Amino acid sequence: MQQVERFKYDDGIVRKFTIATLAWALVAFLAGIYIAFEMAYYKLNFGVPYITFGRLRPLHTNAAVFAFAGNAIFAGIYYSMQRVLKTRLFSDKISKFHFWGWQLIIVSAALTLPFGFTQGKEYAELEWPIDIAITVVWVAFGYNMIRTILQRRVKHIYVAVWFYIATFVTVAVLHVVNSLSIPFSLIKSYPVYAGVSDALVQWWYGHNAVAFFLTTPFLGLMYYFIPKSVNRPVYSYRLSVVHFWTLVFIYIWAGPHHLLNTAVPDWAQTVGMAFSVMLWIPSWGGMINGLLTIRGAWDKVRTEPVVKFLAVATIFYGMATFEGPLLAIKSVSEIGHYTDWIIAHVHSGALGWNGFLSFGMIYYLVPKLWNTELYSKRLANVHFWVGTLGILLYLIAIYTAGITQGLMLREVSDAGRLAYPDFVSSVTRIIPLYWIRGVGGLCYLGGFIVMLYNVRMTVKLAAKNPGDTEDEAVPYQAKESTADPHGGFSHRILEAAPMVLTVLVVVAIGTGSLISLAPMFASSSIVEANYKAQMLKPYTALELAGRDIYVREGCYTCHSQMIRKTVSDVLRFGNPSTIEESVFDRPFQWGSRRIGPDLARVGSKYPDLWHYRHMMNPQEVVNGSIMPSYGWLFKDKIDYAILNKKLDVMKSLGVPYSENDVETAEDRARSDAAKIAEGLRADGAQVKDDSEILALISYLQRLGGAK
Amino acid sequence: MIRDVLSQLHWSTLPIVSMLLFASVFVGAVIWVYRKNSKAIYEEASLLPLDRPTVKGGHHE
Repeated sequence: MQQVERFKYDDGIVRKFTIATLAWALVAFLAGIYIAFEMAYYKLNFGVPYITFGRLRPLHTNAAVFAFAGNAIFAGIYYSMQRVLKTRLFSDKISKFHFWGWQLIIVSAALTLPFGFTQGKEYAELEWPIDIAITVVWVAFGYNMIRTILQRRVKHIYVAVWFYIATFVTVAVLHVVNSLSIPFSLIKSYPVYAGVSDALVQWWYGHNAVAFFLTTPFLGLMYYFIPKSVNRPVYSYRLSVVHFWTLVFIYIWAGPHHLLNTAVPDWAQTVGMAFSVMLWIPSWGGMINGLLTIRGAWDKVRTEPVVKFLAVATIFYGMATFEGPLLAIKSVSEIGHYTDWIIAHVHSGALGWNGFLSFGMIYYLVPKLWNTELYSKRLANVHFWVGTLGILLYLIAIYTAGITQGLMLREVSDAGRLAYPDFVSSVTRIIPLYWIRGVGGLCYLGGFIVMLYNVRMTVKLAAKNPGDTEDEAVPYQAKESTADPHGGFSHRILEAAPMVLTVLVVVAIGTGSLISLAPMFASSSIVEANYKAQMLKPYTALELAGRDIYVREGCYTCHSQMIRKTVSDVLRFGNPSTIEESVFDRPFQWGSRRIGPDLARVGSKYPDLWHYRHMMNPQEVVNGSIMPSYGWLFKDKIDYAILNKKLDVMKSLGVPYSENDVETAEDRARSDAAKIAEGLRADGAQVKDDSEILALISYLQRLGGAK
Repeated sequence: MIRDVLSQLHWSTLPIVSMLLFASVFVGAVIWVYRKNSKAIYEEASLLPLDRPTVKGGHHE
């Protein structure tokens, strides 16, 4: 009565993504370890701009998030989705396009970031041509996925696939909205948002990139691979449904917790904080659900490396999502924000949750995909323990560093003065911990290299041309005519209808997005009126050129430009930053980490010559500084010719430049630079009239004195 | 125009609206998963990743 259909899964594409995961993981880990040691020993850039911390850090984060985790997600999604839906992927061609397109994007990221082509927004650094490519490839992935869902042979869409759908939809929205920019050259652009708007959009994106690129897809993978590895259904399917809807609904609201105590409107901060705390509920619901799935099979945690990795990954998910809401509380954020505490938080998620889940998944996948047994369980166990040791060393060192620095910077004596007025003293104190962190990273890498060997041997010993797995199923359409004992109308309208589900996801994320971005729409008119009243002037052409150099060098990876409304921040850096002060900032450069001091009011604090010497040799003016020398800024020339175009684009974005400002941009910049150069020469410094350092000094001197 | 309207709104009520929204989503989701007949559906669904014959009306008959 029912026709059984035989079909083959596309295992080739999963093999490709698995190999790519391993290859890019190596790149991400190496880059991470390198910049970790650069922080311990600043001379490690050897004076080469391309491998200086500010340029290499975005490469590390992009490689870790989009290359390593990205390929792992795609491998896992394509493997599990076909199997729970009982169908081959919709189109082999689109799958291949997706694969090669994504690798091309990663390669172009690796070829642009070291050269300073960056939008200056964290995890969204890639410039506009690459952003367009990401959009195209992402849509191809989504199309392939949705069409695969539509041709499934089972009625119910397993909960893992819901998480994949939410991932696709939300990342698409986040990426497009946050990356909107107007190009001024073939590779560079200015964002359409400025200042506080840019900050709100960026952290709405940044937070939810973590949520929907590093959390929801991995939760989907957890809901598939943990039941698979212990051969038991998920502990509570009901809980997974509640987990899904509450997580998808709440996550999107929490972005402003990255901007606590800043110039962002207070109520927006409160919403961000409240929703972050609420995230405890779904996160822990999911974590407990994952762990309890292993119930009755705990012995496998001891014997099976796959289960070991998956269980520990889930525990790290629990820890990171316990800590996240904590850090989102204003008073905790006051200590943790801008310090290594956040870096530690991120790495407990990245190394523990994303890393270990990917490793567990790959140990599961490789033998299946190549039709063989894992070469050595023993080596996989070695990987597990060395990797765990690496994470522990990393976390212990960096939590200590973060809390130490946070406490030192906020310590105020009874006399009402800063206990550690020199910022650098809080940096030199934690340098030994940076060395330990580096060693932790090396352990993590060491474990990973053992894995590479193990996978290599597994594949080598397997039969050549593994081919595709065969399966059989009865298409569910055929069963529709027969009476269905359960799952009536209500079921069909939601959990078996991908389109309705997708629309509901859009509604869920849309609601939170609109409200959390509302202050941006609301404040822009107020801000505009205010800055006009205060007669704030936009950047001069030379200042803008300098600002672009600041962005290019990734200064924001170590310096914030946002003095918070906290006692110690005000004592140390001056009055709290206002919304108006960054109204011309495209992109905003508030930063997220202070490895050096805040620069929001550094203008006119030091003479030009101080900046000149500081950029040439930071240790000469700041004893104990870990900033590298930026020698190339003295040799490289300012691109004067493009300034007219730059101002023109800014003008089109609403910056109040006159026609005359745009037309004379180049000439004015030249004469401004000549003046600074003259002053420097009078003080005995050697500098040419078109040296980039002049533009940077011009910009730095303007900071905080925008009138 | 829209900007002016927005800038006049009382944003302070939004957190409360948000809170209520969330509460209703949460309660709604819980009610939804306990709806009639859901137990059988979820039991079947939870077995989807596993290679065993499903409970009733399964795919491997």
